[in-house]
Amino acid sequence: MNCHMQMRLWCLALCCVVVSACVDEPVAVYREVVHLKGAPYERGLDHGKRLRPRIRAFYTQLLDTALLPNLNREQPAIAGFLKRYAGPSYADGQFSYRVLLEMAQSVETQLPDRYIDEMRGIADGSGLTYEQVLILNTFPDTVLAVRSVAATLRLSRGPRIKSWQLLGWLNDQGAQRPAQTYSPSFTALAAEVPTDVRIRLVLTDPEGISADTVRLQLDTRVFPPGDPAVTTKALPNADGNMTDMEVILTPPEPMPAATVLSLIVQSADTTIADDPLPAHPRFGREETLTLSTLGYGLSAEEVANVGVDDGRTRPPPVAFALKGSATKDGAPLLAQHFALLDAGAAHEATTVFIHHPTPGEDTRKHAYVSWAGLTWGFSGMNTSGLAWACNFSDTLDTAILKDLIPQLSKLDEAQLTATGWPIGLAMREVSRSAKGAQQGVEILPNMQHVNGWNCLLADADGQLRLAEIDADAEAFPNPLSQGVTVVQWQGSAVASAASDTEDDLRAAVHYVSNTQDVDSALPILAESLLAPTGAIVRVDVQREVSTYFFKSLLAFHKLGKVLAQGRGSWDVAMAQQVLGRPAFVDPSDSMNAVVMEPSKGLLHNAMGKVPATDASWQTVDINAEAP
Amino acid sequence: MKRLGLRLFVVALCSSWASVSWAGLGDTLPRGTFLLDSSYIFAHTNKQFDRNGKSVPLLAPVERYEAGAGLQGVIRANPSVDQKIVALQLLYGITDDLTLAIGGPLSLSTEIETNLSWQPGDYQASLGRPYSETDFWQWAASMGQPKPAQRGVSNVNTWGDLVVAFRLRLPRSQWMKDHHVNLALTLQGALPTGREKDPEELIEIGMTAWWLHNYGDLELHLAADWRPIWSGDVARLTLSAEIYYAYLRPRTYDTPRGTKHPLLLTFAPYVGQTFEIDGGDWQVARMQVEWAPFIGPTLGTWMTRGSVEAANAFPPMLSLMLQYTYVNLLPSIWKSNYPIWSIEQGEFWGAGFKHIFAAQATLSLLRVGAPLMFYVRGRALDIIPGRNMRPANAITVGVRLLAKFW
Repeated sequence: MNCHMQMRLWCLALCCVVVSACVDEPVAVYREVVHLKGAPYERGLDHGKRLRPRIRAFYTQLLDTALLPNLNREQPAIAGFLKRYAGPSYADGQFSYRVLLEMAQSVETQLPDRYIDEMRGIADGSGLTYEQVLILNTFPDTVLAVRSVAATLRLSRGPRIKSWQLLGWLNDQGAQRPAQTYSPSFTALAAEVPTDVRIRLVLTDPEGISADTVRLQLDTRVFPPGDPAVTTKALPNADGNMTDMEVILTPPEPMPAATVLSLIVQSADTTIADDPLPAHPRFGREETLTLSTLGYGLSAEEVANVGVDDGRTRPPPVAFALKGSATKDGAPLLAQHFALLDAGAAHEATTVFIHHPTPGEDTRKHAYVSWAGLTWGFSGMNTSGLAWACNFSDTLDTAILKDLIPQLSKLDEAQLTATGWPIGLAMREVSRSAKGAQQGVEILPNMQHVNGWNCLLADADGQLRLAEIDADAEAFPNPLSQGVTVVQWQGSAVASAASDTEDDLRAAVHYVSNTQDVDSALPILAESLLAPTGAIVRVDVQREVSTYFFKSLLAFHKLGKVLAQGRGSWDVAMAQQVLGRPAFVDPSDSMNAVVMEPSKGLLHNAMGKVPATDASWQTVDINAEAP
Repeated sequence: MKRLGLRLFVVALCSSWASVSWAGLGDTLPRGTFLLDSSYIFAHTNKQFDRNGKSVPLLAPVERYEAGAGLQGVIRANPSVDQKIVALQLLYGITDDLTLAIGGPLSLSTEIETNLSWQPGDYQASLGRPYSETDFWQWAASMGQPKPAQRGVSNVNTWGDLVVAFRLRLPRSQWMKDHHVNLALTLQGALPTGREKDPEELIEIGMTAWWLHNYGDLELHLAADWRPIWSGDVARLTLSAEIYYAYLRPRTYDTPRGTKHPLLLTFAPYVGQTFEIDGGDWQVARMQVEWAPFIGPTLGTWMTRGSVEAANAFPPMLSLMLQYTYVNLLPSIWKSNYPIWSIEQGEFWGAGFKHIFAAQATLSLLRVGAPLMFYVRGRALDIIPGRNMRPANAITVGVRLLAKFW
């Protein structure tokens, strides 16, 4: 008899004597640890039955009432190019469900029966349909891949920076340096610049630039449209059309000497996008340009394009791996704070799954940090001492665009599919069979992947590996299989905080080695897609198109600084503390944080709240027997 | 979209419709006497006291985020609920010591103003501005979710749960008689005649005992009256005390399926087709002081067949009452297939208490030959903050008609 009932009877018996000592108010439990045993279907069935309400809530809240309606908003953009999606079977709000299902079914063709059986078990146990469980288990990869395409289509219709020039910055001969073609950069565009230069940009858009939308920000100082420090002038392009605009920023005061400064640029064209609402000008991507002023002392290649830490940027997922001289006891650590989408739902479904192999099964016991209804996670480890964590990495080199290429000749019938592996299941394959980080990264190139990912692997022997994944398995950079320790980009160390050691690695959501992620076929595809419209789509490498690129640089460099400061002192507690710092916490879409000790088989996790690091840390010993 | 809707869904309203009552807390009607009590009640609430006793809006602000784009903005709702009710009670003295009562609230209307407002969030690079309120609701509408109405009117000419009650005046010892002390037991129960709300509607409440949260499904009262000061046959001062226990039965409700508000009220897939609320019971203690400042003229009329002596026993022409009630609220428990949802729904329905102050003035014309009593009553629940409750202050004007057939 519960306290509530006891009190009721007690009070009746005493005829209303006020008793208030015993009150049982329920407490919500948002985090579970679930051990799974048996054949794949049995594991799935057990999973589905035990977490039935959570799975159903997770699906409804995250997909039915958040993600699917939101994805429906992309229908006009996608149906504009792929006419199939303007058809009746995708009408009445069915677009997103149908698209995700069709892509999930193409993913399904790549998967071994063990995962399909497990998903069938989850469906039978939870009462969801198999189709729903399939979508649930594939949507992060497919949605991210669709999002990349949709965002590119959208941004392609907005302005971009054509060139930049620093007026008053003279060359050695005393002449004004010429304008430079702009390309987003990992490092500063210019170094040792006089403090009194004016910044000249040329923006371009086929529809022309709206001067009323040009917004600049020099470090934390914002120059809104109309600010007297900014002048604009429409310019004709080579064909004589007024598609370009010259923008000149004259800083009201000289810039400080010996300083790194970043300029953030945003503008829109002269058209209004009104489908879907709300109506808004067509904006291009916010670009971040960095320069250093006289006296700073480093070359442009040596100055990272960190950007502006103005509190406006929500950090993307970050992960880091440490060992040897980086940690207090020399033992390896792998840590991650993952953020993508909570939607008021994901934190209620957080679960650590531990898979126990059946006797005779050629599988290692492995665990992953996940959500109810999923057969995978974004981080995990196995009992051979391998730990891993993956961050998404925006790219156009996805299975979706790969699958579109053969359909170019019949564009009206072309269908979005995604023939490849979701990263979570790819990493389960790694967890099932790999003994160490090196073996793990050797498995990944043998798969085609749906989306781009940055995966860090660390093992009990202290091997640290970074795999920068896109749809092209063969496009993995060479250092992948050798262990990335220091990645150079234009002469600057950008992959590691410790350029003089091999004891730390870090990753955000941009590629630092796989910088040529898009292969040559994709621009051809874009031209074919858009030939009827006459528009230009920038199908290009990640740094040119990803909306996460600059915020990823910011988080990446902040993390590098923290790692360097703590070198030699790192332990679990310190890693946990750092993962909870505001610089690495997305306050609304933080999903979980993990610190793993591969040599001890300990998986420390914080989740079940938003942000995840607001929850207490819980430790799971994956070597322990199931209760 | 986070579960904004159901918070409004569970804005239960405490009307001021009182449990079956009449003069003193332990009084019964003379045998064969009918009393018809009809009153108009206007109740208003626009806040609640949380678990710490802090006054907060009936709906908590909802921060809206867009994945990867930061804070869209903050939806603030400060709902204001006005309820207009006619309360009807008919009492009959079966014997001098046993009275039967039947009554119930008839809602004229429930008006809910949502008072939605918007606090812009982060600058949105894709829009070139922060979301305005219009932007946000256009965004929501593009996903099938209409903006909730600013004003909702429901429960027009709608009955609540009817109440049937018996009051038994306990046998009095000689000491009790000598000291003018009465003891009475009252047992009352609610009949399930009240209208439930439409589960798919956001701006609406129901009319059952649970929604009104002012009388239980079953109540057992023990009351005592002491009249120490008299003027002739009229008590000038009545001190009353009462304790009672109110039981609220578990109720089963249809779970919203999101047919009208797909992003706000789609719960059935995981909550289940129905859910249950086991309403927390109440333990109540009440004290009352009634003073008769003006007894008034006394006439022998048709009501007393000309007897002034008999008319002297009628109530004073003017009486004033002050009342304090303490209600200890046991936690209400939501039960569904999804425990997390259930706990979330019960967030403001944990153990708590109410402090209720009431004052009433009654004008009785019985002594001058009219079987009528008029009264005006005010009730406040926020003079002393409560906990886990929604204070509905109310003003009541009523009339009582007495009749005796013998």
